[in-house]
Amino acid sequence: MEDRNLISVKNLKKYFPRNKDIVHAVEDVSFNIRKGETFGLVGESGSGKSTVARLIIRLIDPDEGNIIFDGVDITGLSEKELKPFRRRMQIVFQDPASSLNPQMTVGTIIKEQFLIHKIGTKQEQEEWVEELLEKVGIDSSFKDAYPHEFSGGQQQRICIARAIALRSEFIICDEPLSALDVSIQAQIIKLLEDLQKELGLTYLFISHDLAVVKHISDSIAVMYLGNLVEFSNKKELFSNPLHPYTITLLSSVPTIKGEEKEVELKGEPPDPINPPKGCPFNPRCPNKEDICEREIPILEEICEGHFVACHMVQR
Amino acid sequence: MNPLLSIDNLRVYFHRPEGILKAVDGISYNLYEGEVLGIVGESGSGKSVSVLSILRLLPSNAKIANSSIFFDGKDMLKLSKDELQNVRGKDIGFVFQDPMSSLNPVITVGQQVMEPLLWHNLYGKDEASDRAKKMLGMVGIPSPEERMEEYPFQFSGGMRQRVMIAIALICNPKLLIADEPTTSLDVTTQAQIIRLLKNMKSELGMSVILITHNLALTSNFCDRLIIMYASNMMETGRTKDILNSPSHPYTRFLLDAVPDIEADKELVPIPGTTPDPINPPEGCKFHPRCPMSTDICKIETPPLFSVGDEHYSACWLYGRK
Repeated sequence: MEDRNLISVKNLKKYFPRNKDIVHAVEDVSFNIRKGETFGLVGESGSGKSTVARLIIRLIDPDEGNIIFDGVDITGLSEKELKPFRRRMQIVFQDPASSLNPQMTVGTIIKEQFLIHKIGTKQEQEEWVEELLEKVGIDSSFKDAYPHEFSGGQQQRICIARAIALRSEFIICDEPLSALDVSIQAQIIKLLEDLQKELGLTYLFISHDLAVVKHISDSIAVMYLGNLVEFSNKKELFSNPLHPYTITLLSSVPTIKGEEKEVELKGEPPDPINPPKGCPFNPRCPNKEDICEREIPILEEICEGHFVACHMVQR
Repeated sequence: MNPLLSIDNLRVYFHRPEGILKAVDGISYNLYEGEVLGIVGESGSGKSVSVLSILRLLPSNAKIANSSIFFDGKDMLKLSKDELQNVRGKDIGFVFQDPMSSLNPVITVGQQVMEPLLWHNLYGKDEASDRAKKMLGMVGIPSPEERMEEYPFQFSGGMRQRVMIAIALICNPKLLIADEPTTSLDVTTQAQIIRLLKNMKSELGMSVILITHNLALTSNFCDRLIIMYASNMMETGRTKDILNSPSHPYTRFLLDAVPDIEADKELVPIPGTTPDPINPPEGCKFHPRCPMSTDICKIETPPLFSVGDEHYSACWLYGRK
């Protein structure tokens, strides 16, 4: 891991119109991802983590804020200006079956990358496809097979092969394990770890599974209702969680030892169309006071490298 | 003590154009009153089919062959349709994975919770309504009186699953079957629902079968576990025995392959993939992926061998021909 930021996200905001309402998907999110690290982004459904991922690689455009990729602000770039950057960032989605074109052979699916970016001769492209398939653990003789002929785990391997085809340095993994069986999940985690070592990849790893995030990440950010509520390196976050939401989240994860935990989250997840005033977590928070209903807490460094957005912790 | 549910050599075969799919291939177990049994396995292991068979809720191409299922003294495979309907929803309650598709979107939640009481002629309309209200309160739905009049889409995922639990428990069943009840829910909601199931169990005293792919979820809820793989039972025993000293190589792999939030450990992936259910391997179904497999594993299916007190493992490591 280097001490240089590959990705900087500053004050990102994204609202989506829905019928007559406005969904507050991402509300003022800022963080940095260092080159070579795995940055874990956790949160429950609707917390805005996938929207953040789509904003970073500009599949959608933010309402406010900036995305800096390797020192260059890519927020306002045109499609044409963006193309060289597109080569350097990729995404692996949750459901591999629906991210592979069912009418194309897996070889063609991977080769498309080279065609779009006009790289290599026909011969070279064929060779690269075979190399890539072998690299993700699929026999290259299957390159003329169609996606439906593979199992879910193998399909995810093919998606990963496609993501590393252009030697991209930054890969977003958006819940890459959620559609897979437990015995297959470990295989994919291992593959992602091996590829990172070999190719020096930087990952943004999005998941709702805290045990997986803990295993794979170097630093972790926790999102709640479009806001980043806590950020720290992994060790610090798991040994010393400070935000009340992070604390309940960690204690909700079932464990093999199965000790009964005290903390249980009260109430229901809030509505992103009508987010609560003040701190987004205040209606469910056991420690709330008056200020929490009035003012949105900002993310502040509490101790070295450990950021928390909570009035009570900051006091 | 007689078991509440006794399943002997259950085999469920699906007749498909491409061949016979053996979804469940010879599993046997007993469930006693007040006991919580966890059935753990990956998708396609046969865990859901094995419990759907109890109420014969199977598609028409499924056949239950040479098996016996006794529930509360009744031979479930010999009951007529009407007799079966009297058990469904009354003596056995069912909670499915996806609460949205299990609830009727055009009927109010209150009516859906009352329905089992009215259908089984247990109470009149007013009494049923009162009981439904009380039950919704018990499963943690705030202001049940008002919410009775609302429709499923007005409830969040966690609240819908609470409604499902209310429906399953309204007739005070002897057995509650929960099939992956928290898989579509967020982790904090999952914790709430598991706690609710535990509380309802200690309040009402019914037996529970929890089906899940998540071993950790069973650790502080289930008394006993059955580990299934490729239509077969691999290991069964008390939950703490299985989690602390797993005996079957598949169970050990399963524990090593899943990251645990409380332990920093090296993940050991299980090599290979789950077998094709129409052409499964001969012998032990796990042998192609098992590092300990020997010649006999490839030829003969292992029976359950005793490996401890009430702890059995279907692996040739523990027995010899």
